[in-house]
Amino acid sequence: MDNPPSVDDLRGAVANALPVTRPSAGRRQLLRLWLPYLCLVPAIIASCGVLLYPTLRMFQYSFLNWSFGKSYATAEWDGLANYQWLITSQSSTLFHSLRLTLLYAGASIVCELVLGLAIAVLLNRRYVFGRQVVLTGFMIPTLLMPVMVGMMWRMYMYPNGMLSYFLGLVGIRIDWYTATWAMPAVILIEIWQFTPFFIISLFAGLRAISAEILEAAAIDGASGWYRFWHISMPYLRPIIVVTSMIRVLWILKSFDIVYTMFTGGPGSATEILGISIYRALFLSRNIGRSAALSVILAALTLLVTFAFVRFAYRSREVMESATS
Amino acid sequence: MLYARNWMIACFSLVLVVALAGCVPAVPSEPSEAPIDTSQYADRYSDELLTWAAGIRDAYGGTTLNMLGFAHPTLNAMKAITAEWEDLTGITVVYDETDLAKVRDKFVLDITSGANSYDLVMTAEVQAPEYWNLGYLEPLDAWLNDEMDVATEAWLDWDDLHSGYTMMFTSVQDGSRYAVPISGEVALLFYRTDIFDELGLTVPATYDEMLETAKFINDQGIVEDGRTVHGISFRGRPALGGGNWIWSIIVFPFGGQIVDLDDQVTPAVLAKKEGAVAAIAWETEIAKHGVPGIASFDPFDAINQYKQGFAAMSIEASVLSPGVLNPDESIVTDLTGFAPLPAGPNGSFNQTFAHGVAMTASGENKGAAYAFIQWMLGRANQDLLLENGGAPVRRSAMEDPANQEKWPYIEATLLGLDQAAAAYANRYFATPQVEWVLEYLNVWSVNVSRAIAEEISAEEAVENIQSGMDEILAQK
Repeated sequence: MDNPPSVDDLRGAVANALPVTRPSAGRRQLLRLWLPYLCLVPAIIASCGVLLYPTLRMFQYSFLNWSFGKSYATAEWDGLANYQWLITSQSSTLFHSLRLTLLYAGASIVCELVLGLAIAVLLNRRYVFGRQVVLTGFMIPTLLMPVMVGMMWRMYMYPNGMLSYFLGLVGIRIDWYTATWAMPAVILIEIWQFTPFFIISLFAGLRAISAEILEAAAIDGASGWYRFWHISMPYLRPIIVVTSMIRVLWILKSFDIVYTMFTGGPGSATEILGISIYRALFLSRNIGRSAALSVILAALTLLVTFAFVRFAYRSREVMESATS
Repeated sequence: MLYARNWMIACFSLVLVVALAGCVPAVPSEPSEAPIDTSQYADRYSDELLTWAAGIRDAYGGTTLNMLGFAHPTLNAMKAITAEWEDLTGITVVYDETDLAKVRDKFVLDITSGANSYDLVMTAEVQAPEYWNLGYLEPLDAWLNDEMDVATEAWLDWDDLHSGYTMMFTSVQDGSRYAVPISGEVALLFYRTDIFDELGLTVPATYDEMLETAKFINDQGIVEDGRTVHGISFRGRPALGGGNWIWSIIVFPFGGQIVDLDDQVTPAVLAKKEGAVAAIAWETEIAKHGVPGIASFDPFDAINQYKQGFAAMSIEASVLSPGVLNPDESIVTDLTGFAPLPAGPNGSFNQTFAHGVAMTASGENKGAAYAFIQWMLGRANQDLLLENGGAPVRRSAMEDPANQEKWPYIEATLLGLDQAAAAYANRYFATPQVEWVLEYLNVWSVNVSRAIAEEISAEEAVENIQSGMDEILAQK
């Protein structure tokens, strides 16, 4: 009985049966080199259409003198006039808005992070009654629409609102609607709504740390603080960086809560960049200036994202070098 | 177990589908061919009007009108009586409601995007000039002059409408009319009669007296049921209908002006700087004796503070008076007096503000739309609008003793209208009829709010207003 044909025999037979259309080695190499890019072409075209085109248009609009409500045909090329106005004009609120935006973002995120971390650590203790219920409950503010949140807190913070009333009972009087307290008020609302985002993320991070490592450190005599700072924190650092970055991106573009609460006021006490962009477009009807402000906001966002990514990479390198 | 779970999922899905089906709005039914029973309306509408409505039903029954409006007592009053219109004519009206600050954005975006979704748009006097200068509104003159498909009925009685309101929607350049006022307002002084009586105070006749009164009341530290009663409440938010509103009214009695009195376009705040500064300084000063946070208040915040007993006085729009008199909304229903604004060093002036309805130039149902605004504006519905929280725009309704007795603010409103007429005789207009009127208003609003919040001085605010308006004009 003959031996059955081997795989190589079969391959050879098939190759011989097929017409000789195999590309040359050079063409094969070329195909191998370009095929991945060819496959990416549809995605690149779609991305350009959806992401790049509107961004470039916004960039183009920032150089135009064009009134909202008039056709594009009436728009005139204005060079850098919009940027120049934003930087030099006495009426421009750019630097004021930038300062407020950074204050708003910085104060909110630091408080959210510290509070979120503290609560996550508490929830991560071995015995916590109703942990899942508490975690689910914490998610509720994050799920609410910011406009709704703004309206709700606007009523609470009324001079005769619920929050003012309860604070009054313990002898604290805060006039949230005044210029002094308006910014702290919106920061407080941000903290209320988005601290749970940090809690959930950091809690997940803490749960991922191997219990054995922590137990081993405890046996070696490491204190609770030492274990938290030198074991848990390095593990949490990438999560902190990513969650903070996401929050910064959200908050830099923030608009709804501040608009619903104070429309940028009283005076200009809460005129963050989002409000300035809105005012430039819908109240001053200046598409060019509004686009220029948006470009500045986009640049700021990119800068912050870059800084975070760089920090994240550095943290990873430090961690890798420490463990190796 | 699995079987039971599948059943539960199936039942839940069924309930969900039924619930969702219930949420789908019903398709408006075609009007019935049979004539409707109008006997229920016989006591309210004349035979002439009912016959007219039947004619409109024959011509346009089954039409749907889309109207864009803003949240306001005027719109609430219109909506309250729309069911009758739909019943009488078979024309459905779909209201798309947003807030005052957003309605203009929504309308402009709708037109510029080419969507052209609306047959009718509700407009305040500050928005209308922009709309008509951009060609968004249908001029009404041809309709009012009986040159179009739908005749103008005698009961519309245009001359009975108060000219202080109709002129808000009439171009000063060419006299064309673009909207009809469904309601209107002047600024009024609301005051607590009980507190005034108790403290032996009289209604302030000048702005200086008003400032002293607010300070005096505030200094008393009155506490009612745990509430501190402050001297005054008014609006000062840096938004349309906020900080700009009172300043644009009181700047004239204080001896200031906003634009050149002849051309009504060129910014001229600095031409009478002292008066303009004095008006802002007065607002800043009196706010210190008011409910904390005035620089954040919109009209509704301001009047709510008064209605809930936190302020002894308020300068607010007369159109908000029905809410003050409504015991479901207010605890000062029987404790409120209404008075016209006091006098300033330059005299006693007020301004009218109107809330109107206009036909869009791009609307496809103009005949039905014109019939609707004619019906809504007619004398027969004036009292009904009043009953539902609207404000009268007809002189006959305002001078009617029965209405004056029933609605105690009407008398003060009429006096306020006289004050406005005196202002207009001097060419003191708070609303320049230019396409960029909202840009002007934005500049006033932000700077007045900043001054009230004590971010800048009154003098700086006035200079910023002048330079801001100059910049806007230079770009045009």
